[in-house]
Order: sequence, then C-alpha cells, then structure tokens
Amino acid sequence: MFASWDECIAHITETFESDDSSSIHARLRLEANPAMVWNGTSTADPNYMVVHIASPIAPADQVDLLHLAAASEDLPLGALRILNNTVHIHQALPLAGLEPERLDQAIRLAATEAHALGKEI
Amino acid sequence: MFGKKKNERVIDDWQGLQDVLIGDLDAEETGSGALQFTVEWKSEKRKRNVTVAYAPVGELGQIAYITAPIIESPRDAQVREAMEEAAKFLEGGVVFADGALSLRSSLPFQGMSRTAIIRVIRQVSANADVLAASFEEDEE
Repeated sequence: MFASWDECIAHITETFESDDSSSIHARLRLEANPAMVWNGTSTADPNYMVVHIASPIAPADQVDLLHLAAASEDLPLGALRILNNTVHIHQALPLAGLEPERLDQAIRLAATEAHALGKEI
Repeated sequence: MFGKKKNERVIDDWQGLQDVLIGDLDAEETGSGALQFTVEWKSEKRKRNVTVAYAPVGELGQIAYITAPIIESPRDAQVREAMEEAAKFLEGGVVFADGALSLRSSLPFQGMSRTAIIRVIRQVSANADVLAASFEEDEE
C-alpha cells in the first residue's frame, strides 16, 4: 500500500518507462498504448485522493463518440473522457489502500483497452 | 493521512457490498445479478437511479461497476459535452449502457470502507445528475 502520493508516483516512474514526469504526474510509454497518471483530491474531503489513469484513443472530432461509448461498455474499465480534444479511457483509483500491483495492472489494462477501442474506429 | 474511523466497516467481497447497498441504500436486485437503487436530493427535488454490478477482473480484483444514467437517445453534441464535462469530475467516465448515455465508475472496492464506497456512489450519481440537469435545461 502507498503511504502517500509521493510514494505512489515514485513507484510509477520506477516501474514504467516515462517520457515526462513531475511530482504530480507521469506520462508513460507502454507497449500497447501511452498512458498518463496524475492525482486528484476531493474538494469535499481533502483526505480523499484518487489516482487518475488515462490512455488516449483518438481525436474526439474524428470518431463516432456514441459508438465508442457503447463499445467501451463491454470492457472491464471502459469509461471515456475527453481530455485536450482527445477521447481517453479513464479510470480513477482511490489511493487509500491501493496495492502497487493493482495500480500497475490498472495502468496496463487502461492502455490495452484504449488500444482495443482504437481498432473499433 | 488515510486513517479509518474506529469500527468503520471494511468491505471485502461482493456479498459484503450487497449487504451495504441493500441495508443502507434500499437497493433491490435487478434480476441480472446487479443491484439498483435511487439516490435522492430532496432539497433540490432531484433523484437518480444507480445500478451497481460486480465482476472480478484479474489482478485488479473485485470491481463494482457504479452506473448512473445521464440521458437517453443523446445527440452527438451531448455525448461530446458529457465526455468533456466528465474530465472535471473526480470519478466517473462516460459509457452507453442499457439505452442511456451514463456515467460509470469502475471501483476496485475490496478493502475500502463502507463510508468510502457510499461516498463514491453518491459522487458518481451527483455528477451524472449535474449533466442530466444541464441537458434538461438545454431542452427547455
């Protein structure tokens, strides 16, 4: 389990190849697809922090977004967000109690799903 | 930093989560193995149906799929707006499930406290309701 976000981001940058990283984010190079990891904190409860994972699929104006949303419904993670005009697979994991192996698996799975949805286009 | 309150119930499996959903949120079985209930904001006279389904996913462990509908038969611009607005939320992304554009959070709940899980459920349903209300206003 991670005692803090600092421990979490250190683990991520040690485990995965990264093109760019800081104390708050890491841009990762994975075999299936790139991924971005950063942290988020609840405005209602500053003690509640999540790890955001996102992997890009395609430019939002070049795809049928409803078709992608329907296709993503069948995937284990599968929820979509548009970041910087690009559709991404997105997952938020609560940092409290998060096991490193589970985080690693979620990052790999997000990249794999984004790659799979990219083929749906 | 991540201390839990004394006597806080920790949920370890789907049975434990079902107990919480049925006992605390009056959830009912849908017939497909999922549970459904309504989250209500009485002061604002709004409510949203929420479905929680379950699946084990490899090393990720036990996942609760928390899904709250936003709008049925969305226009393309609404799909895009929902995905853009979802990027501002702490939890949830957009899927098209059971005929509705919906907000979904895939939550690895094993080891989470009852309070934390309910907080995520309420947040996802509130986020979906914000989007739904926005689209309703646009239609008026």
